[in-house]
Amino acid sequence: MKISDIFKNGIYKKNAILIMLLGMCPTLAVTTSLSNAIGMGVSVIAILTMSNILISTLRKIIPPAARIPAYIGIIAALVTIIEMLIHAYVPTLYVSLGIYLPLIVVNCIILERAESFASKNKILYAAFDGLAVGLGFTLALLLISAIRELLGTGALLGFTILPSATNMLIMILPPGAFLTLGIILGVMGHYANKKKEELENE
Amino acid sequence: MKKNSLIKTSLLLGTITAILAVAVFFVNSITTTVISTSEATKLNSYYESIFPDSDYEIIYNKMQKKDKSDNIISVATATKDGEVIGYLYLASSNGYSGEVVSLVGIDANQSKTIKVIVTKQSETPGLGSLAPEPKFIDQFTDKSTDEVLKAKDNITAITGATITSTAVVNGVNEAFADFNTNYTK
Repeated sequence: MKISDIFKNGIYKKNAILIMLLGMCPTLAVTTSLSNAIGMGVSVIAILTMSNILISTLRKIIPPAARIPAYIGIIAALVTIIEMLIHAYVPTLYVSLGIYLPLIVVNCIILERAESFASKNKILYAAFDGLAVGLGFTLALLLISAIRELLGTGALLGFTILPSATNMLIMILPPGAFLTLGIILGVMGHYANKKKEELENE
Repeated sequence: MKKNSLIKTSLLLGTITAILAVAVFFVNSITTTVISTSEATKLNSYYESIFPDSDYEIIYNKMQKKDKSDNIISVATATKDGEVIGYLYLASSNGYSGEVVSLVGIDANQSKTIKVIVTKQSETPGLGSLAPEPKFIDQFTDKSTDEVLKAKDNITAITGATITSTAVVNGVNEAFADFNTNYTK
């Protein structure tokens, strides 16, 4: 297995959000602003890499018949411990990331990577997979949140870009998340179909 | 599944869970004190910004004794030159996406607010998240505790965030009601 393949798969070929449609709950909920997406993305990259390493290390000990409950327990404990440590020793980081960490416990991407990759591969590969899938997740979040923040508030990261007359409140409310994601998926599907047709015509 | 492997699986899963529980317990026990100290320091700096150069004493805490409304988390007094000059209410209420906590500083002698600070919120960015901004929160300065506040009436609500505005208003009203029954002069 090549490490470049792991990154290709994680970032675009099997992008967790845009291709696999996993982790829809955080995708829809936290993409109201670019800064939210950065916070969530950084948290997921860190936790996913650590959980992949941990699961891969323990892959020979975890009983196959009870692997899912074991993964859930390990991921939940890991996230809780990291949250408590950050809260206690890096309070400034906790202010910006604190609200995202509890949401990660229920992020199905982490469980999916544990089940389909980390439990079957060596520690190094598992670590790179965590990094790659986390990166792909973050890039998709950045794309959605940039569109939503720009159209909804006319600003990016708090800097005003568009005049307030063009602000569409709906974009930063829940319906805006569905609209943005739907349009992005639609555009991607259109180009994928086109490519397929071209291949068939040749 | 064979009986043997069933027992083995249960034992292994039990062991893994037990180790995880011990790990969480261990980290929790060493971080709890650090967290509560840093939270107290943060709260103290808020106290300081409302009643500067005073001594603060927490006289009510929901966690220890509960005989006030559920929404009042804690009450502290600010003492200056041996005289209680103000009360500091930490009040929580439900916003649009979770708890909104406000600190209400009330002048003990004149029964009016000095200042209200939103200390915790996770409201919609660009809408409810504007609650801590001066444009909204400064409206609560200098209000008599006899007044009953109402969003869209004597308090101008944040555009597109009536629920958040009402949450802050409710927190302040709770503090007023409790102050009027217990501590007014």
